[in-house]
Amino acid sequence: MTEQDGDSPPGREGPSDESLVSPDPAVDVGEAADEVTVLESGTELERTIDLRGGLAIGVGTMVGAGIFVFPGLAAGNAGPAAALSFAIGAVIALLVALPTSELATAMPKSGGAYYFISRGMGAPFGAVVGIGLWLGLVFASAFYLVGFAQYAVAVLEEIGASAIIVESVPFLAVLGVGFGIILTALSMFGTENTTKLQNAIVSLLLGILLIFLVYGSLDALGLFGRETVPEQFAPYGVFSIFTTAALVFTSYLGFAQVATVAGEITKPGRNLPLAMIGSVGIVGTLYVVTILVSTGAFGSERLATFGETAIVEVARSYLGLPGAIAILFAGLLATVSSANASILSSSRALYALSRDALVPPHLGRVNLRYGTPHIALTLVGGPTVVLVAVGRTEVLAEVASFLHLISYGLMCVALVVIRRSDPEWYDPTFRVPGYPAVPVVGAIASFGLVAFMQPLSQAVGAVVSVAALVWYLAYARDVSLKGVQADA
Amino acid sequence: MRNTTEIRVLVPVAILKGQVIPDQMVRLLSRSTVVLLGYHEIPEQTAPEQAREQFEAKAREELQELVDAFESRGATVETRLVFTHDESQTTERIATEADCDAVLLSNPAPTIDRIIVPIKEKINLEAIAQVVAGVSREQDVEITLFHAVDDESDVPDGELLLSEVSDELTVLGIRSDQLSRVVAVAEKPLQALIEAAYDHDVVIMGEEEPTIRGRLFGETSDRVAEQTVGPVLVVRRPLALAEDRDETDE
Repeated sequence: MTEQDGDSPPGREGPSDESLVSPDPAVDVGEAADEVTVLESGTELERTIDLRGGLAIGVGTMVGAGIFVFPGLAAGNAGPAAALSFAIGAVIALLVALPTSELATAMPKSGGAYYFISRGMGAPFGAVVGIGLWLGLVFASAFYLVGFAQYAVAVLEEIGASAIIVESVPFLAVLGVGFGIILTALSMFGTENTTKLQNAIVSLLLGILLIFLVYGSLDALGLFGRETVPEQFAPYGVFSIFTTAALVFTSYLGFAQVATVAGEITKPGRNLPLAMIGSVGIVGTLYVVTILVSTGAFGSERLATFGETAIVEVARSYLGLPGAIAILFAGLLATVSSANASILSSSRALYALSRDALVPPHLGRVNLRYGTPHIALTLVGGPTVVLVAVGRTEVLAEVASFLHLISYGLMCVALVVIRRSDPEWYDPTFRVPGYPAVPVVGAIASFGLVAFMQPLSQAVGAVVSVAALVWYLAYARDVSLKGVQADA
Repeated sequence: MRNTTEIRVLVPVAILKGQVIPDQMVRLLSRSTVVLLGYHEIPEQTAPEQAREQFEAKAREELQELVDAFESRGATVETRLVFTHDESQTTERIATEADCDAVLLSNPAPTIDRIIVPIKEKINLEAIAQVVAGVSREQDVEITLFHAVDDESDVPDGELLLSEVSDELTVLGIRSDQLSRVVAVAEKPLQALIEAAYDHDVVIMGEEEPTIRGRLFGETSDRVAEQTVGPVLVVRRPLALAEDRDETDE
């Protein structure tokens, strides 16, 4: 993986004239070892998340959307070619995951994308990305909670309790909001460590999906005498493949969450890249197979009529009632796990901003009794439930993707900026193969995908980004980040 | 390498949670090098850095108070301060890094006059003897060597085992009038130990035989610590053994 200017002397491009990057990267760098970060004061921060845990964060955050919410919607938009849309998403995610890995191994600190971009490109970009990530994850959490509510309703219908639903119209919103509040409260007051639970849930999910997808694939290939529904691969044209890719990109928002806990991952040089790239690889494969299996079962037009819980009908058609029940159960687990992970990541993003005083510092305060950042969690949970109450699935998903794609694109740019100025502290243990093509293409692809979204999503995303910039100019213009030169 | 009569004891303290080290325990460790580990365990919702920024100053202050307490009794103190999601992982790492002979599982101890030392098998006897001698030398404490067998016929073997340890302790400077030996016949050795520990103030016992990395304490010592009222000092396996174990791990 090590290629290009590994140990070339700094300053080969002249005394780096417009260097945005300082010789010292961080507020509290510390010496990062395999199992611990030792700060200058001698205080140690233990690293406790291993590769398995890192993969569980990545897969657990992502798997909720692509399989359990999108197949019906995506097939309705692009036909069987939706599989291609998911593949495009996976390629873009990989193009971003590689630069992210390099940045994360050079700066294995909490804060992820915000940290890299603010250190690489300065506070204004940092503010836009940090606030964008906070709200982007709020939109993502709301999206997952709406998905969860749809599964909860599907469960009620399955057990014949649908009578309750018809009478009260905003039932979906009530379920989503209620569960959003419960999750936020659990994050605030739960002192039990949840990693083991998350690992177990992810293993269980992968198990269920594997059985379902392997059986489904074999069946769709005709091994058990099934005839797949014949249909044109891309009935809605090539353009629809890209708009669908933009829609479903929310399914790939989890890998960078691994970078937000970079400070807690053991052997960061090895485990960070493996966890990020591995989790994109795992979920990308699952998504593509899921779409092929699903469209094979029903044909995309019929699949689209099933909406967000289409995959349940697919499972029913292959494996009967037990299959439907297993997938319903998996859908509940997956959407909750994704929502929970997003809420936690979002509060980390706020913390990173508050640490640099880009938002009021007390937002990152930790409650001594419960040890949790209660103010930040409230600022995540609150807006999330509001969005659950008013939002539409597609728009929530696209705005979340919009805000993430901006930061993904900027992360690729930050990599190029840092590499060009080649500061002394920059010593990543993982280097992007194919530099500079990979980050450049990654940046273009990230920004490019935004163009294929619905106008409403683009508008909301743009408003949030501009608002973040206005906030920076109004509140934090005089903030100078430690580790970034004042005149940057 | 280092002075063999001096032992290194890891004392983990849940800093900021009001955990105190009993004064009597401080006295007992006054001739040892104490590696004082202040740890603050935080839930996974919180970044360790986040808790560190807010609590470091206060934690350092509390840690310093403990250092003063140990030093005023004459112990040599080294400190570590760690913010972690996983206390046992941290304890294990520090115990290895700081080359500790024993780890204290702390319980309150109003007085420390009587120490019980359960001897299970031949493994690790030398290290146990050194730790027992290291803390008890020149202290006014009684030491009970304890061994449980499940059959009468094993009693002579047990006697022999204990007398070996007893001899070793005498060589290391413990007066023979401080020492007594008990071989108990019981179906449940652990229960017998816990009962015997009732009228003692501190338990000093060996770490369980090779366990997978990641579990410093065999279950036994944890259960003893839970079920007895006093502190338990767990003697780690000698370094050579531990290194063997690490190599087989890789």
